[in-house]
Amino acid sequence: MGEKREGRSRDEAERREGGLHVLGAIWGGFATTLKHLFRRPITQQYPEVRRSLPERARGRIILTRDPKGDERCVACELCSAVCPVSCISMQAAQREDGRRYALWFRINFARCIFCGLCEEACPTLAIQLTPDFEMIKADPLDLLYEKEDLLVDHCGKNTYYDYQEHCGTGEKGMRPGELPPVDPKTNLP
Amino acid sequence: MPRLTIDGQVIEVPPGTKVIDAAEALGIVIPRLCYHPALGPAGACRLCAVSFLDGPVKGVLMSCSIEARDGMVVSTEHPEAVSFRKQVIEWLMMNHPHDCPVCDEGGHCLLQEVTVASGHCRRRYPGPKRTFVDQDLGPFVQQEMNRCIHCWRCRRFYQDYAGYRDFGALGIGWRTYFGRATSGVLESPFSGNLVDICPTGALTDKPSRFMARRWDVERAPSLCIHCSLGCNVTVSAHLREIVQVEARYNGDVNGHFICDRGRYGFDYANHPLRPRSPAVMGEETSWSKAIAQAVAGIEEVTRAHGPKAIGVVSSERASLEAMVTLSLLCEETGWEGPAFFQDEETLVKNRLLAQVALSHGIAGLREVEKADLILIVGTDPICEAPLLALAIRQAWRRGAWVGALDPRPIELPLTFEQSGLWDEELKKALLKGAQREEGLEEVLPGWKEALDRSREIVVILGPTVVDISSLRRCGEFVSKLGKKARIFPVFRGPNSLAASALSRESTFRSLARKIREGKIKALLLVEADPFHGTKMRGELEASIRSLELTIVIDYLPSEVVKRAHILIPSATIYEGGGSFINQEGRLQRASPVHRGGIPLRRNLQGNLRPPRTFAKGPPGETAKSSWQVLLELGERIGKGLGIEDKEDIWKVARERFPFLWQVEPGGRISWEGGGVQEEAMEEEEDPSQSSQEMRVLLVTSTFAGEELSQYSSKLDPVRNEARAFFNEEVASQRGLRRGDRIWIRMGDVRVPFSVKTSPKVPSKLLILDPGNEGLWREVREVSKTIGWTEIERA
Repeated sequence: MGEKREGRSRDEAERREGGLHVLGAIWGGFATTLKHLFRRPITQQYPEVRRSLPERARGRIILTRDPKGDERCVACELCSAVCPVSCISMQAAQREDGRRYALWFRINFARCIFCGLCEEACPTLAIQLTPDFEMIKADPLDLLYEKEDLLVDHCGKNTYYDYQEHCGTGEKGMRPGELPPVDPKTNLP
Repeated sequence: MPRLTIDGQVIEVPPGTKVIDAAEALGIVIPRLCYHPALGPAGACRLCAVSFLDGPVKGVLMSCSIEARDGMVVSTEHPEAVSFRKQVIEWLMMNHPHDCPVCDEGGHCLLQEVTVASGHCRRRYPGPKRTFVDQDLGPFVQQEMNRCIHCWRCRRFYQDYAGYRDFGALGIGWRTYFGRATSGVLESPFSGNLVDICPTGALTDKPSRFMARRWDVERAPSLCIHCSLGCNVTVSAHLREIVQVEARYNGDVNGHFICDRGRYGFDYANHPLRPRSPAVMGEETSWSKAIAQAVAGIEEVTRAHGPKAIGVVSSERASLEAMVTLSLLCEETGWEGPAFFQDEETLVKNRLLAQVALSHGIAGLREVEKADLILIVGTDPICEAPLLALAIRQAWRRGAWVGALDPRPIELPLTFEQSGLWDEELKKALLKGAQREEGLEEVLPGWKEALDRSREIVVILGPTVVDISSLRRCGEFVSKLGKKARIFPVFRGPNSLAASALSRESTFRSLARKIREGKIKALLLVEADPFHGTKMRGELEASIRSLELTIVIDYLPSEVVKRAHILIPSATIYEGGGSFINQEGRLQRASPVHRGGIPLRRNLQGNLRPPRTFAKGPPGETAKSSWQVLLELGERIGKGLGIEDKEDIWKVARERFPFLWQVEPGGRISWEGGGVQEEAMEEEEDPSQSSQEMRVLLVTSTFAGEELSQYSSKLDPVRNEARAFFNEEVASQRGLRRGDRIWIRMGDVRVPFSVKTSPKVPSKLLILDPGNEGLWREVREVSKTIGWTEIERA
């Protein structure tokens, strides 16, 4: 009831002010248009012009390398576990030097929602989202990215972290922050 | 009965119960790392601390080491206890490498769980971490000592529970190292349990290393069918491949543990040569065509020669569903069979053993553990039913006396008396034992004394070495011992008891005889390979070749599969599930684990990646269980059984075979044995007893000789070579020493053997363990006796 009464009173006020109010609004609109007619346009013509997106924009996923140039991914499967749409799959395997790596790694971008949870879960900073979002393909099968499509030749956003330095395949007791290996055959301190 | 209060709830527990177990009975799980119900408390990890607020003890104490007593008031969530546990976790994590991403335990790690639960996430101590150098512990266990938190579970299991000495603790304090003196293969056939009980990633499963995370696998409760014990297991499958088998707790059967044969014998299901699609005359075809061909073939043979011209063979590894369907189908159609056993002798022995055991009180693994006198007759536990050895050891640890009558040099992880008796001598000894109480004293010193103080006796009896009359003798002997004695039968296959109950008079040997006589023209083999362990290969090949039609339904790439006219693949226990009756008559069911199909690992393409194709189903058709195939066959030849699904089989079986099916799964069957006919018990003539000849006894070993595990590549590294056991004296007279290489001529082939000697082996006996059976492929007939002229040095 209250609303109805209020509406009615507003109508009455407009009627009292008459056409003057409407005219002011029309002139205001024209003035704004006129002003913009002589301004330089701020619209960028995509795809002729491509803005650079912020570094943290969430687009196409890549697998980065560590500062030594080796694959960072250890196929721990945390990204595939956290993925809400189950678009990541892989198979872990052991390399000759004992290092765990992904034998195959596959992301189905037809399913990916670019939420970035995989990047957040990755303990080795291997999986990262890039600002590239242009991934239109005619065939959905082309959106199935294999490891060779995902693996890049740089460190991505982080240029110094090397997981293997902390708990990788290096010699026991020789990595930073470790004591020399215990000799179990002596009780001497 | 102590009454105590835990977190405000009152519970009454039997005396001797630890507080941690009392809490668990209330549903309160106190975190623990070192405590294990089978191994008892160690007080090593300090994680199960709780606050004792009132009663006989007070303060923060370890709940695993304190027995529940009257009037105790315990709080598991007291701030003091919680902060204590949090501290403990922080200490434990101080030297932990924090390498969960590359650790196989990640996802089902007890340490990970308690760490997350305690809220610990940052290592505050800035000092360096302690490290260890790892050892290679063989093909089953992967060691990563840096992850160890010194709970002592591994050492307590390996040395105390299982009784092997080559793995243990070295060093002291925080430098304690769990491993071997030097790198090397773990000697124990129970080493896989280390993986199960290790609460961290220090000891992980090597065959399934890096295969899958726990949250990705398909898991289901299943059964181990690699011997007759019927241990309960949990099976994990990933990407159409079985990756891991773990022990599943069943207090009535296996307890917490299983043996390595059961744990790593699963790989037959992933065998690269496993039949995946139906084949006619060796060429792959569709299901419908293969079934149509089989039906046409069966109808043709029936028209020409009558239904009795079709023989049906199955084996002791077939599921109860398959056995029941097959028995009903044979009744309906009038086919000859089904034959579940190789020959009459085996059938009679199995039936007799079942009868003797069931009429004297049958014993299972739990009864063995409780016994105080154990007599092993004609069984080599480690080789025939490995987990039995573990049960015997538990009894021995409680003070039981163990004696063995067996010609083989038995090895058990305990001290026991053994007398290498066989045949006549064994019969005589058992007869003496049956006549007088102290009758066995002559062959087993200490028997009389042990018998006098015994309350529960278990006689472990196996049908492989002992002959029919000795089995009977053993029955008499046990009845002499009275009510306190029970028989623990050890059969060959997982479903032998059901097979002997459902068997008619046919055996494979009797069918083969009819094939030679020309009475049988077609053979239907359901999950059976007559070539496995046969002594008459030449004869067998000739009979199979003379058949007009051979239909094989199986999941193994067996020898008979290669000779089949029509091959229809069936599902393994992992795809189809099934029911099995174990050696103590316990009916148990296994659930299907996954749908099956060709493992993705075998289907990788090009750049080692999965195929980029769309398909409705998995590659490699999902196999049907053999009973489903049989029902379809029956339907198509107009002899439908009116059975639709498993429930129907169980319903029909409950009516037709009430002795097997009156029980619910987990219970013991009510069959009383029987069906042993006197005339069937004709015994073979003792072959030549000349001084030059030795009688041959074929035996199997733990990792070689069992049918299914033979196809498991995971066990390849631990399979033993062919061995020949001689009496020590006889061997030294002939200049043979332990470890020598010899050739034994059998027919026109020479088979290599490694010589083993033992004073326990009777002098007129030669025990042959074929080891890897590949060596025997050319032997057409294994001789019953072997003379020294046929043995030559390599």
